[in-house]
Order: sequence, then C-alpha cells, then structure tokens
Amino acid sequence: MTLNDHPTFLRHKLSYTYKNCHWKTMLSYIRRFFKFIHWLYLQYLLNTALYMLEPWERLLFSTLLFAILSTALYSALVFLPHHVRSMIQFYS
Amino acid sequence: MTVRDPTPVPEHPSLEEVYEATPFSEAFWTYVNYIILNIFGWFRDFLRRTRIENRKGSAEYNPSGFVPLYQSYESFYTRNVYQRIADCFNRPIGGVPGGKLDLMERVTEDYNWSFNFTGNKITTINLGSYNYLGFANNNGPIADNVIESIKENGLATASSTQEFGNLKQHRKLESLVAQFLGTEDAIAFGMGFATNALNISSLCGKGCLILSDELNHTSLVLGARLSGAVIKVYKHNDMKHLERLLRDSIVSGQPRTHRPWQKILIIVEGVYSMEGSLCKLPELIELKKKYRAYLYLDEAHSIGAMGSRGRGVVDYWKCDVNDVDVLMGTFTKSFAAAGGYIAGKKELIDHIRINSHACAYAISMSPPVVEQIISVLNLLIDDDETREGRKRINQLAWNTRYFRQRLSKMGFIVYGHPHSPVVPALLYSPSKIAAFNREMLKRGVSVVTVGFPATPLVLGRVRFCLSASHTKEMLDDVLKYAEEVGDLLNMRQSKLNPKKPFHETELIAH
Repeated sequence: MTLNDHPTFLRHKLSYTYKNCHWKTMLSYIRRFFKFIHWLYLQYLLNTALYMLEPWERLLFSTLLFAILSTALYSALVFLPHHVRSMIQFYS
Repeated sequence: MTVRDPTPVPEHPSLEEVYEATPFSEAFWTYVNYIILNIFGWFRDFLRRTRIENRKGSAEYNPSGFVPLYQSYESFYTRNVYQRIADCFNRPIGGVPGGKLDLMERVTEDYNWSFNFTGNKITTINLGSYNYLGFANNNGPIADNVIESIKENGLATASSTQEFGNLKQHRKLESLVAQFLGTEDAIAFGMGFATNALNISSLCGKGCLILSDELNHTSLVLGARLSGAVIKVYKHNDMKHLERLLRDSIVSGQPRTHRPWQKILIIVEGVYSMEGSLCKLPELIELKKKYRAYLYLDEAHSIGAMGSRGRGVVDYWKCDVNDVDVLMGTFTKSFAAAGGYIAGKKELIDHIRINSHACAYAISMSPPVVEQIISVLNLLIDDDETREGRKRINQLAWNTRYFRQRLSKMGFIVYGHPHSPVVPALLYSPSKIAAFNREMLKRGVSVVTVGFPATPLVLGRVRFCLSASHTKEMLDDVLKYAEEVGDLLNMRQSKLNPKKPFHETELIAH
C-alpha cells in the first residue's frame, strides 16, 4: 500500500496545513523514507538468507526471531532495574 | 559491430594485483547465511523424509550393501541452497551470445524446481560469455567461409587423427597456430578440456614431479592425476613457495628411493578465470632455468585477449616464446570455436602426435570449426593497425582498462590484474549473488554470479567478462546499473577505493 494509492486523501490533508509549493518536497521526503524502510527490510532479508527462502519459511523465522527478541526485551525491562539495584547494594 | 578508436584511458597507477581483505561484517553475515540455510535445509529434509512434503529432486533408495551413488553433503547443498536460486544459473538462450544476448524468459510455480517458458525473449547486454574478441556471430565473412567449408569437407571426419582424420585443413590450422604463436610446430585437438587431460600423461609419467598452482583448472588437475606423477601444489602465484618446493624436491628426490626425478614440470595458467589474475611469467622462466625444470603454460583465457598483438601472456610480458616449453591454449574463448592446441618445439609435437591418447582414439576436429579458427587466425596474424584483428585487440584492451578502473573507483572490491579481461567483483554471500543476478536481469544485463563450490565458501562473486563487441555506451550503462544494484545490496564497501558516484569516476586522460 503506497502513498500513490491515496492521492486525493493526501492532497486534501496537506492542502489545509501546507502551502502548495511545500507539499511536493514533503511528499518526496515521505517517499524517500518509505524507500529507506524498504531498503532496511531488503538488508534484513539478504543478511539472514531469508531472501532465498519461501514466504512461509520467512514467516516462521521472523516470528521466532520476534518472539525471542521480545521476550528478551520484556525480561530486561522488568527485571534489570531490580537486579542493578540489588547489585549496587551488595557491592557497596 | 562498430569498432572505433576511443579516447585514451590513463594507465592504472600500479600494475600490482591487489586482493583486498574481506570486510568483517560481510564474512560474519555470510556465515550467518550458511548457518540459517543449513538449519532450514535440515528442517526441509526432515519434512521430505517424513513425506509431509513432496520430494521433488532426485533421491536414491540406498539399498544395503551398495556404495551410495550421491555424496551426501553435495546433494544436500544442491537441494537446499543451489536449487533455491536455480533461476540464476543455466538460463536457456534464444540467440547468438555476442555483445547482446537474447534470453528466454522463464517463470516458476514451485520455487525453482521446474520452469515454464512464457515465450518472450529478453534482450540483455551480455557480460557472461568468454567472447573476448567479439567473434561470436552467425553471419559475416567468417560464417560464410565456414558454410563453404561444410560443402567441401563435410561436417565430421569420423576418424581419429592417426587414422584418416588428419585433413589438409588440419595441417593448415596447425601451421597457422605455430606462425601465430612464433613456435616451431603445433597440434590441434577437438576438445580443450581433453587437450589437458589426455596430453599431460604423454609428457610425464611415474618418476616425474608436477608442481601445479593452487587454482589450476579441473582439466589440468585431472591430466596431472592421470599421468601418475607425484603432484605438489604451491600457493597461488607465490614464487617463493614454488622455489622452496623446487629446492626441497630436488634435494630429497623421489619419495622412497631418493633417486633424482626424471623430469620436473611446472603447470601454470596464463589468466586464472575465477580470480582474474595473471601468472608471473618472467619469474617463472627464471626459476625454471635455474632449477632446470619444464614449463607448461595453459593459455585458455589469455590467447587472443592479452598482449599488444594478441599473442597471449608471453606477448604481454615480452618474454621469449622459446623459453616456455609447452604452450597450450583453447579455441573456445577468443576464437569463438571449440577445441585446444599444444605448441612448442617440433620434437615435442612429433612425440605428442605419436604418443597422445587423443591422437590415437579421439575423433579429430570438425572441418567447419577448423575453418572458423583459420579465418579468425588470418585476421589476427595481420599486424596492420587499421585492420579488423588489431582493432578488436585494441578495443578489448581499452574496454578492460576503462571498465576495471571505473568499477573499482565506484567502491566495489575487485580482484585480479588491472589488464585482465575477466573482472570479478566480490559479493560474498549466496543471497547477495542471487539478488545481484536478478536485479541486473531486471535492468537488462546478464551476468554470471558464482558461489561455492566454484569459489571459496565466503567469497561469492560476480564475474564480468568483457568483450571487444562491447561499446563504451554499453559499458557505461552496465556501470550505472551496477552502481544502483550495488547501493541496493550495500556492496560498495571497498576501503582502498572509497565509493564515489558514477559521474565522479570519470577517467581523465593526461
């Protein structure tokens, strides 16, 4: 779903907030940003060999990776402050 | 084909071969690639074995008591890595592979296990053929000569060289090859691979020593093994290692008896096709004279393509042809034909004519192929600068210097000698070689990308083969697309030549 699928919506929205000569550069910045995100996704696919795998394998791997990373992040957020505080208490 | 004399290109600042070290991130991600591919390979093999998934490739039943037919890791690799990107390899072509190539468009429904043709042809700039001098075309004066010779001499001799297969044409070809190279005599065979594999055993046998370069072609390795001599391998282009091996071997003699060796043969190639590097011929000749060894030079990729007169690496390094004992080459690359030759002193060639397996058993070269080579040689022997042969040689040399300099200035890691027409740019991981191939095909350029096992595991590469039939505009287009695709894949990571955009890499002649 790209920006080009909703041309009237965008022009409508932006014409209220920006003057006519600004919305074109705004559009190009947004387009470049989406291209950058697409480039990052391509780097992820290439570096982890998902580029060569079938779509269901990509889904499987990405789900597993997301599950592991989110669990690690959650544990860090919940347990790290307490652990750090008790370590400081123990060593002082 | 328009061959014109373009603006001069400045000479490369140093003619040393530079092999830049692999960036750590690329090596790391390549290993991650292989680990993930292995894990998914085991997973898919498990699914296939338990019949949850259809088994599509060939498999063997492994009956007990029999030796397995397929090597297990090789077929694992083929099923799970090669087959996933099989649309990048072995593409059917729909026309003559000259400067431009027509590819048959294919689609696949089951992820590269089977293909269907859509009926379209994609016209691409061809950087994958060994068409160094641009002689690959099916119309023109050379093709007319070939058709005439079919009418006179037929399509095949149907006989081996020692029986009825040696026609007047073959003798003419052999004397032309000898004249071209500057040797006393030459002999031609029907297959380039067979020239190496079958003739080394008539030169060496038990009691001889063969010193062969690490990166020699399979035909040379096979020929050396078939001969029965002792083989020692030295590191690629490492003259100090070669000298050390020579000294140690001569001092200690044959393995158990310590008798002196009957002969020592050093086997090298002119241009190594995977690295793009040249052999160091002056140093080799010096070594060979000092230790009284013989030199076998395989000029498969360099004959016609290197040297100011197109006579190969001997011409390039300005050495004496009589110093190289056995000059071997193939007609497949620069001459747009098929077959191989061996050239040297008359005694050597007479000995090969009598003793070679290829002369006794193999069918001799087909007459139209002989005529093609004779016509090309007639063009190349002509030393006149304004004629076709010299123009093509100069065009190839210009293309090589231009393309290599701009490609390396754009930030790609490029291996090889600055004057070799084979340009490997490194891509490292298997997913990047598939991506590069597909992206370039979308933009209308067909390239050859190679990974393991033709190259070392971490060093997958794209190999551009330049040709005299490429014009400056075609090369500029290819470079622009390579810049785009290189940015997409993040491959312009050279530290020695930090990346510059295409328009800034303009070469200015001084």
